[in-house]
Amino acid sequence: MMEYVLQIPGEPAGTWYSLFNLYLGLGFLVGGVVVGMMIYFIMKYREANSNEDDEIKPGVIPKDRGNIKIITVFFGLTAIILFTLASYSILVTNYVEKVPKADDIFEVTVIGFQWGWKFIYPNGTEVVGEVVVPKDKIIVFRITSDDVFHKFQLIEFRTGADAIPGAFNVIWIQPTEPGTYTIQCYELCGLGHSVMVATMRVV
Amino acid sequence: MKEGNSLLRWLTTTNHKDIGILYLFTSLYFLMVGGSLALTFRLQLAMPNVEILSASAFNQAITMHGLIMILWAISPLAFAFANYVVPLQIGARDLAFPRLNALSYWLYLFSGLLAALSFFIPGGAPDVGWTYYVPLSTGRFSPQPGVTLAALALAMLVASVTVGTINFIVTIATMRAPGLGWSKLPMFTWGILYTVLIMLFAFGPVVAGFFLLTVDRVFGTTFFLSPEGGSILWAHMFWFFGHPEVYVVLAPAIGVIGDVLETFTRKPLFGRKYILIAFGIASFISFIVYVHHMFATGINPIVREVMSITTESISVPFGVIMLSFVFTMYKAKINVKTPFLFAIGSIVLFIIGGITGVFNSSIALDRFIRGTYWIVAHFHYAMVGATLFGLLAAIYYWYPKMTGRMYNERLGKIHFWVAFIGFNVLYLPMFIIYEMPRRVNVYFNEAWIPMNQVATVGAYIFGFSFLIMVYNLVKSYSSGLPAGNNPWNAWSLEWMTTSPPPAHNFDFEPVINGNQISMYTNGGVPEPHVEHHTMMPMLLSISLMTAFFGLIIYPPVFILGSALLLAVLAKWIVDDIYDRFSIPEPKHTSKWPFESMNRLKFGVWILVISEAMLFAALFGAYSLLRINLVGEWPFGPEVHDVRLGGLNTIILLTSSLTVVLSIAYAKMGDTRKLLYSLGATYLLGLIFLALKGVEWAKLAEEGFTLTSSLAASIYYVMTGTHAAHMIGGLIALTYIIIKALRGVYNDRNYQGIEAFGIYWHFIDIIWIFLFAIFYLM
Repeated sequence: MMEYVLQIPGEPAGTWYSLFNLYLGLGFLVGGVVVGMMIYFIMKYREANSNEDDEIKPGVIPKDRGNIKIITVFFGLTAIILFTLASYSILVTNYVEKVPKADDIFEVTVIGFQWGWKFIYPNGTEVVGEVVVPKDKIIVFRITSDDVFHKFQLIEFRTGADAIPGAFNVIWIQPTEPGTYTIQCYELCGLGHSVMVATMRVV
Repeated sequence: MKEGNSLLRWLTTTNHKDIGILYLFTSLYFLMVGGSLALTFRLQLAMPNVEILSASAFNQAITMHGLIMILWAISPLAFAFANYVVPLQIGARDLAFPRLNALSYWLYLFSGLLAALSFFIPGGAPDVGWTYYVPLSTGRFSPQPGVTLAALALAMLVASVTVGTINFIVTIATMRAPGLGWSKLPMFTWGILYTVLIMLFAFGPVVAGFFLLTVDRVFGTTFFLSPEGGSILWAHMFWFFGHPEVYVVLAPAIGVIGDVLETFTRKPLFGRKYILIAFGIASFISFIVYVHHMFATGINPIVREVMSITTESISVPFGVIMLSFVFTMYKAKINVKTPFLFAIGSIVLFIIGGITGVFNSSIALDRFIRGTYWIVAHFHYAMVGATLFGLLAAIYYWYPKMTGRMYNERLGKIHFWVAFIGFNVLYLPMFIIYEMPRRVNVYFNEAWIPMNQVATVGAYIFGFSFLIMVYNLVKSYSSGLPAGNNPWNAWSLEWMTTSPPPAHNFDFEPVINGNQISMYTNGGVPEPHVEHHTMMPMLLSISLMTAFFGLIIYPPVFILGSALLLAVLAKWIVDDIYDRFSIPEPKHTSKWPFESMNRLKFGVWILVISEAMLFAALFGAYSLLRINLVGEWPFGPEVHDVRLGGLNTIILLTSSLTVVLSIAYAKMGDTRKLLYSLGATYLLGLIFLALKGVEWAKLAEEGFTLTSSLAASIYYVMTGTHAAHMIGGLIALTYIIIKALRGVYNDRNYQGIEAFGIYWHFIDIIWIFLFAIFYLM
């Protein structure tokens, strides 16, 4: 797995990782603090004997407690963390979803079928199973399906979109490293789902 | 009354504690079935390219694993405790409708068996994924009958859930012990209340979705095959249910954790009120955010942006809840017992499941993550981790109450650690290989092999841990130490009676004064308890299962099942007419704010809400189709006979008026006029249906048939559903007329007619909308 992290084949994978790592870092921090605090409390306040001065007594409905100020702090902390993440996420989303302006965009139409991928090049040539795209250019995939729901996934590029019969979804990539990359279906589509694989060669 | 452990007692019981135990055993059985399926496909995945399971068997296994675990194992396990504990916690003798409660259980059991039967029919079980995405699940791509059979099983389960929902809402709202206000309810009862409230709104739409799918599969319509409806329509109808379902599964666990924390920290829950408010907000938001399941489908970008932010914000209330749980332990006196360990385990796993869920709310991340093992790991942390660990806490917490014996504490703790470690060994590796696609039986990337093997080992450790529990609980049942009434020194009402409690729950009358719960001795005489036994709920469920099975597999069986069903229904009605099951309205209970509400009437109101959700989903489907087909959609007056439809509308409205009159006559005690007005209602209802039939015949002649166009399909489906509801109403009316003939109704007893009236008016209102959208627009 580490190999993928180190070898970024182009956009939007690089940007995707920066967002993913932010979520991961904050997630570890927040989860670690909360779980750590809980374990600390359990260790510190462990006491097996219950006695008369317990606040919980049989047959007595416990009093409400909980300081609204502390609750507000809980609320505020969670909200701040989440909205930090959300705002960065929106920036990245806009970047990922909007095809960058460029003079020569290389557009490929992708048609998913049970069970394989068909590619139609700008010049109208149709191929199945392998698509060859130029390095450094903006590549746009217009994705649809002939039969059932599929999901077109460019694993190493960390992007993908659903292939839906009767509709077109668009994604873009900009490969910077030549090589062979995997395309796979990521939505259960029947018996051949596991082997609905194709390759993308960047030259 | 049948004593002891005879088989007959268990088949005929209506006591909430018996039914709780039936739920417990059944849900553990389905947990084992679902778990075995998982162990099988984990074995397959331990090696990248072997065939322990063929692609078809693998797809069947994962589909049924999902369906069984979510619908027939985890949620019903929560209802085992809901049934057993909630009436005790609120100081009630039983649920509001004990017979319907038995019906809930039997419908649940036989719907589960019906779903499981699909493994044994030609073509096997459904293999389309538990989300049943169309068009894969339509007849064109998956013609095998198992797919339809499981859809029918799901419809049957929803019937069970709806009945249960009505029962629990009415019970909690109107049968609390005197003085037990809403704010004094234990957390578990609150958790169940939230559960049923979410169910009430979520299950109607999914049943509508599966109904349309079944019509597609059986009658050849094209709701989900045409691009105008298709996958987007399904995604809306499914995820409107699918997302709230997560909270349906979670809410009981949150409730258990609340009770367990109070008991074992000896401190009142920190911010209890705010926890409840937060969960309420989260439940509400959950109905809006379902769109996040469709980020990758290319729906409107602004909608998605808004949904993305709302989805992130749903984590805020959960942050509040988790931090409050943690703060409850501050300066507490913590007694680390098995239920407490499982509650803590549940919190830790929920935090991991929650944080990894936030990743999905980011559209940019979700574009890649959707369909990967990240999702598998995330929702297993949330649903299995948080929920199942919470429910395991419940098993240990209430085991002494249910059996009168203490389980072995040492073995309990060993179970926790084995389960907790096994769980993490199973699911943490899936986060590491998050880029792997879900639902594949073979894979080609060698880098994924080691983590898959670790996960498989974890799966078997996790599965093994349940054997420790079963051994412990079975052994302790005969040789555990006597537990006493209140082994944990807990505060709530279920601990103030014997373990196990008597059939009538409390020998005395629980009364709450301020914060003090006391037992009102009532002159030393226990309040009499009415209990009935009946075979009807079980027979009704068996015959429904038989009918459904026959419908798909073998028509003569369908006829047999339907005949049986009608016979049971008739017997049920006759039993009712002779009042063989009457249960007195409980007298001294807290009903605020529903003081004036009769139990039956209240139940019908809840039923109407769930029906309204069903129709709302159909209206939604109609709107989506019509918007997408603008231009091709025929203008109503050109196809439909507005005058005939208008006449029918007037007829139906008149029948509502005669119902109002009949209630007035009942109150006046005028049986003759009561009968006339009820008869008039009946007649008007029949005329409406007859005219409807004439219209249908005429339209069919003109070539406007069920399958001629989407506009026609939705017309027949919606007016047909409406007609089916009318027929149901007329059956109820038959029952009321027979009772009226026997002179049952008078100025004190007219609530039955009122309850019928509510339902009848509801059907009329639905018709007015139908008339508008089909005839006038």
